Amino acid sequence: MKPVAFRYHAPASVQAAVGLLEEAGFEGKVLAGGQSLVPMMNFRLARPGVLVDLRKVHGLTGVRFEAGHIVVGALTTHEEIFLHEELARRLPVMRAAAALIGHWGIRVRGTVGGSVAHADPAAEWPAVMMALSASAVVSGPGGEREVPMEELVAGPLTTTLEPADILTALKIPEPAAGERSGIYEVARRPGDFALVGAVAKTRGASVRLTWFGLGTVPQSRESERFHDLSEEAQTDQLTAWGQELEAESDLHASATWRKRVAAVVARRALLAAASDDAGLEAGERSGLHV
Amino acid sequence: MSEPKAEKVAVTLNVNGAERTVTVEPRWLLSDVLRQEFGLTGVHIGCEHGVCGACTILVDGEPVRSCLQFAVQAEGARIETVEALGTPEEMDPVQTAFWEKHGLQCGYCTPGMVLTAKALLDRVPNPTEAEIRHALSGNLCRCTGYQFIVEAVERAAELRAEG
Repeated sequence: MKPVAFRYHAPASVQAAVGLLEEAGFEGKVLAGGQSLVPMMNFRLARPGVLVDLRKVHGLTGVRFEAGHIVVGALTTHEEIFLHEELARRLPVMRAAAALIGHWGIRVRGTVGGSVAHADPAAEWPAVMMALSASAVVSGPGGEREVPMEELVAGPLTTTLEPADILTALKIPEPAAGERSGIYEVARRPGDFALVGAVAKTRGASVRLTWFGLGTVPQSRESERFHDLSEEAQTDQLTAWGQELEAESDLHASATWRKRVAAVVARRALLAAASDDAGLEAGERSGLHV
Repeated sequence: MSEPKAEKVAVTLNVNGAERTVTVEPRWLLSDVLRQEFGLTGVHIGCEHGVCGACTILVDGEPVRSCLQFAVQAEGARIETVEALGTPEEMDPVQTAFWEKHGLQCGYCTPGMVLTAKALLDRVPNPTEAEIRHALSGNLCRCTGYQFIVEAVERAAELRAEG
């Protein structure tokens, strides 16, 4: 239960961090909040030879409201997102999602950028970012670029980031007038990883749903006229989507169960999107986040 | 896979109000450094992967798992362990409340519980039962069940209000 030895660097700039990662090659790993990486290192499931800690790099924390975009710094913690009043007002799903992550002690350290770069299939942020059509701002040896979320997540715990790339921010399009979003998940106990969860984004009759905890990567489905359908036809559509999605079986739940529950969490995510708090209270009432 | 040689580095930590420089391997967890270099055995090590909350300490006033952080990461932060709270003669109100309400049996989870409760009361002086349960949800207890612990935190809020 102790990590193997590694070389530790805490550079003061993104450029210096990229340089150190270039030198380290496949031995290198970025350390942000460490709430996923450090347990994997304690178990020796991860054995990076070089750790590049971003804690001294300024400008990677906080939320900026730019024309047309909301930019969330990669090192912004789940707790900072949860407590951010302006963000909760403009995009309530961010607070509702942060509330579902781990426990207080984890939310205080864990970061949104770390979660996205870690790409756990059951994590909330990759799915939220995909549902919101966000992009990752990435710095690498060739400079800065933006990578749409769909192109970032390549598989379970796998992204298309190169060894010397650093995810520095998430860039979320400002919600259009009338756009709403919400989140709902099923977990065994408060703070546990989701067995199945969904993020819903709606505008008028159109719906975009992104599921997590189901397959190896978040999966989305869209319908332009979902809310024009009868309730029965909506349920049929959600059930059909649940059946066609890729689902994994593991110790906690079978793929068959997950596909059925996918339709239920999608319905509840849609209800969450229709509520004022994007599902924060609903999560609490259900006992999933007491 | 070749492992780099264990090189030690100096790190200055602010622990319970005093600064001290210690020499550590970068891979040493903050929980181990607090116990072995600082002798603060109130930092209890349970699961070592962030699940149980026994090693909870306060970093800049917020509860964190000391097993999910390397000591080298804590430079410049204000660290508090349960040893900072009180003495057997003069206990912190949270400790008094745990004692009065039988909020512990074996005591293994207690430092983490007490510190999380203190952080909660610093932020929310008069929390509801739901807020207490929410705050403590990341700390596991296998003896008392949680009812006495929740009552202890409610009592601690009263004691702190009485001054």
